[in-house]
Amino acid sequence: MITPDSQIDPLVYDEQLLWVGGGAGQVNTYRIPLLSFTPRGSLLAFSEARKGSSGDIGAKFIALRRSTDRGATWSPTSFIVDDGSLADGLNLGSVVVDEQADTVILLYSVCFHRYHCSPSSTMMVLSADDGLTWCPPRNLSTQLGVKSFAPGPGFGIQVNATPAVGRLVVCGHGTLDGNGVFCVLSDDHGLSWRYGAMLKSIPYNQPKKDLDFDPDECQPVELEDGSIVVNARNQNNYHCRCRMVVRSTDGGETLPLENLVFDTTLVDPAVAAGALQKEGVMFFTNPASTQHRVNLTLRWSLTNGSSWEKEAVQIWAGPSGYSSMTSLVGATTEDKKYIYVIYEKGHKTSIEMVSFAKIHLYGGR
Amino acid sequence: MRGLVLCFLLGTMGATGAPDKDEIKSLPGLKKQPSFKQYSGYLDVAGNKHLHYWFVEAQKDPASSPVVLWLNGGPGCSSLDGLLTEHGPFLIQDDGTSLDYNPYAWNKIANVVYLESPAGVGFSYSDDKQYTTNDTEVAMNNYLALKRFFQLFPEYSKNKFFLTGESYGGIYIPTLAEHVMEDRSINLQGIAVGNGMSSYEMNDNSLVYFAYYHGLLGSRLWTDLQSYCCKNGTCDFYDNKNPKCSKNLAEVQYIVYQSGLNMYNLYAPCPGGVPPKVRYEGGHLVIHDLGNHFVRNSWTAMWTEKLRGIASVHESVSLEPPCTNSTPSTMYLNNPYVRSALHISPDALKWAVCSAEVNLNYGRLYMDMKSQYLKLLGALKYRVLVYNGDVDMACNFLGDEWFVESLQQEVQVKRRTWLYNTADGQQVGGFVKDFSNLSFLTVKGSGHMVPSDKPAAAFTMFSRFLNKEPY
Repeated sequence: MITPDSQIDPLVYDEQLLWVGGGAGQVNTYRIPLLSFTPRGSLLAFSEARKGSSGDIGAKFIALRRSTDRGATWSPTSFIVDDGSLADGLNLGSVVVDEQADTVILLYSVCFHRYHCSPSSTMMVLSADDGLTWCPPRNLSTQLGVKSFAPGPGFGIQVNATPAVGRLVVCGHGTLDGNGVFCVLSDDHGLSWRYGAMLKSIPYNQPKKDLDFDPDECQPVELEDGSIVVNARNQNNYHCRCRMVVRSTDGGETLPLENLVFDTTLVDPAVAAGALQKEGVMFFTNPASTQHRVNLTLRWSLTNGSSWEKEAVQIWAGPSGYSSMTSLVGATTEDKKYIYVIYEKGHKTSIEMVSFAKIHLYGGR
Repeated sequence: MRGLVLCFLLGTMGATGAPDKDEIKSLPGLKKQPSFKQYSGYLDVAGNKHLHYWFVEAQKDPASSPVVLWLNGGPGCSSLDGLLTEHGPFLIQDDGTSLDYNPYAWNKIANVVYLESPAGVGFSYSDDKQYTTNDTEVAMNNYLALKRFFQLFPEYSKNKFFLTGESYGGIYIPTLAEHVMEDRSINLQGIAVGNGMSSYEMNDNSLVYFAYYHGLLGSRLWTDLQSYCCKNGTCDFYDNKNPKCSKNLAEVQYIVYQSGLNMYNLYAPCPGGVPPKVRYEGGHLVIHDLGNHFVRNSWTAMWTEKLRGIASVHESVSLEPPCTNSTPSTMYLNNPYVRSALHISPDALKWAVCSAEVNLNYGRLYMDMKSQYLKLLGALKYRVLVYNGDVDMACNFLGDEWFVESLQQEVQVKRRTWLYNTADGQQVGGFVKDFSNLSFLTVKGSGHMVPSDKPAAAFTMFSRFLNKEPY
């Protein structure tokens, strides 16, 4: 008998551009795409709409498009948050679905770089109606303090395993000196948040040099055994030009150093990458190159990331950058067949547009 | 040899640049002369027409700043009203003699041409003194004036160029754009229309809703309007043949336009107090109706006929938009020193904010601008901004919102608030909805003359429009 896993043969089944720089709303650049399912079976795509330039700082909107037909068609863009004309505006971000509460929560930062502003704030917006409307932004600084914390980019998870069932875990990174992977936790559906697991950079709170230990942007996934695997950007190429992977076995409370591995298969030019766990298979997307943001590639592992299948699927050969993945969790056959990737791509640079790809896991059959 | 001489001559013509004779050397009323250059003179078109222009160069880096043409409406009103009371570099003060610099001047970021059009308006005149005209003739003459402008200022002919206007400019601008977009020598980038007349039908229909939901019509009147003007939930307040509907609409018109409300800003007082419909000032007749509303209504038609009759037997008739105070501008521009500084021809008439003669004899050939907008959008390279102060009743926001929706363009960004900076932090400027190359934007709490009512918000909007930035 052939297990479903061994049949995996991903095929880019459909692809469309959700945002193009200079397009919708005269926005200079759309970057940092996030993608999420909702408990009601919709897909939500988010991005930073950088108003005046392509730079990380500067004023932005949070752009949202929504699909209720598995990515075939998308609503027009909504700007759900507008930071006005801040010198150091908002930055995305991590979207986390609370399936118990039927809500979608988006965490982002404002004044992350402390450029002409202080302090930094971690912000949250919540939708209780499948992403149609959003509550006004809530500043989480009273709970989390004012340490610069950039959630994601990607998604957060709701823990399925005891003893922390229902916990929301959102991981991200700090500033350049105080960098590292940090996770914030909520055990009350996003009402209150506290810092949990962290993997600090070395030397901590000191300027970094090339090849220093500097875990950065990251994506957590929950395995079937209840452990949380965080796949992180290796900012200064410590040990390898590849991904750092660290595991929490206590629901996101700690990320012990002994649980850290360097995955030399996952070569990486230091970028935000996508990871997803679906029905025992782990998926990973990044621009698979040690030097350049090109060659966006999908890999999959049948061993929870211990090893990767030799076949990999190239989604875009040219310039490509940040990526994020999701899948629908419904019981239908259709929802077993597809995963969805959102990523930055272009012809001359990797940040010309944001593309959505629907991946058929079984070769279109 | 002849060819060589010709080339030589053309070459020097191209290099002369701005016409020295038109440069405003010293403008009365300013405490300090400006650091930017400004020009005033005439653009001669169609053999006998002389359209007055006032060109203010950008305050910073004029060579690389865009060129913007501004037209006020009417029909028959002067664009110098836009310069002196809306977004010019200096604004006329109540004394009618002094000009104060405007911190929100549009020429801070653009070279702005204010054109008095058609002939008969302001300082513009025609040798034959015939001032009967119509929409197509005006569009053509405005285009010819523009060509003449770029001949006089060839150094600006490569700059990005925008057409902007207000009110009846809602007709002038798109019809002018139709000509300009055919002309490769002009670098047209887009158009912006503020509180514009885009569709008579939608303007009339929406106004009744606007009036009712802003508390201007009582329940008896509203019930009667529903009974006599509407069928199966659809109301026709524009071209309704039911005499009972017309009668009730006459009541609406009276309330909105003649009861003493300021039709240009519902929440502003009426300067000078509530005016009569017509006024005699020593044999001189003053009228206030620009004739843009309910043109199909039998009561309106009757009144317009009557007005033309009265006007024809009067030696002089002047047209003052209701609840506006044009006295300071009129005083200033008729000052002989000002006229001299502006190089105004002795053949020009006494300056007035609007020309009754042009307005009363004007041929309105277009009932809506749909095909003009669709042509512009179809070119896929122009950006279009339709903006409305949302408490204006002359061209209310709802009518223009309906008009923009009726173009059925693809929505790019859903309707949202837009923000601008004030001393009191960021404030909501209004709402905006983006379509492909087309935005509909409201300016909250502003009347008809948006840059006068909300200068900071208007400047922010203008800047984002020019620079292709999100609102």
